[in-house]
Amino acid sequence: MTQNGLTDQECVAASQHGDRDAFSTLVRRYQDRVFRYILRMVGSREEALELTQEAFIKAWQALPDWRPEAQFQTWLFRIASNTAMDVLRRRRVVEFVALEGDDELPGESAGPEAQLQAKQRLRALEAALNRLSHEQREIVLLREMEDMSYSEISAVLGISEGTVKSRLARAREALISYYGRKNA
Amino acid sequence: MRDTLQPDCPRTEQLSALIDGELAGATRGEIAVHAESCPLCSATLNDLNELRVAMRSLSATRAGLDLSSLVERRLAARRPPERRARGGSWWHGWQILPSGLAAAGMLTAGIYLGAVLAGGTAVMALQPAAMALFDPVPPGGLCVGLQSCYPLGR
Repeated sequence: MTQNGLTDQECVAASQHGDRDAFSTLVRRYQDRVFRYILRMVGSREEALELTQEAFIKAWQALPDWRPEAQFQTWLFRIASNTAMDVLRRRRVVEFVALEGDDELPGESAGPEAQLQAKQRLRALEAALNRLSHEQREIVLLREMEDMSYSEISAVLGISEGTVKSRLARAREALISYYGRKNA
Repeated sequence: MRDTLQPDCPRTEQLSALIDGELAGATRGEIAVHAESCPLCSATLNDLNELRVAMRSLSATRAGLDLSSLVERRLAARRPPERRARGGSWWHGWQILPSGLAAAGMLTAGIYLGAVLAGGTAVMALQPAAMALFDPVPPGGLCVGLQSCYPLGR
């Protein structure tokens, strides 16, 4: 039976009764978003792949605590955020490696020069992101990369919308100063 | 980022909320009108918008493989999630009773054997008096087994 037509809420309800097919549907639906969020937090592709799986396993284990009034997306990202933050706190010193993937770069039709410039801008953006504090980085990623509203970010991070507004503004100011107007 | 703000310039926090569409109607209108005429604020808005465009390129990142099969494999070894009863259940306490009794028995036997190995006399003194009921020699009977019952010279 295909689960693709089901809403998140329906998939979660089925998963709560032990339906792993329904849970796999949720994994496929959210794996790229959770992966890229964790990837930008921890800076290593291999570690991000492992932590993404770990986040989904934690979600499976926490399913009995999920309530229908909670939005699955924000609930899942809260687990992903905690998973990434736990690793970052243990690590103390964060070592980022240049990401090798080229998903973000324009295709070959853009020409080699445009590709090179895009690659340089991407590396500069990654370097700027990595200079932010963990708290600033996660809020920028949730807003700019995941396009979450202040209300959703507030639910993910467990902070007030007023704090979201001020922390996000400070994070953006810092990111622009590190990234530089020449790249923007 | 904004070194020479005018007294009536909104804070970056307000401009940041403006591009996110998170300001209420009246405030949104006031700040938008101000930003149009203020070169500092319009430059800041421009920076914020360009940052947004740059950040969008990160949204194209993919895991590159189907993680659901990997997660499924790891979940297969686990039990399905169970709804936890609020406030607990009396049955959970009884479920651990047999193993608790077994553990207590093992502990008592261990202490006893340890004491025997350390010094038998101390253990003998601990034998309960009730065990005398099961003495193989009835009260007043003759003991034929142990030499101590028949000291030399008698």
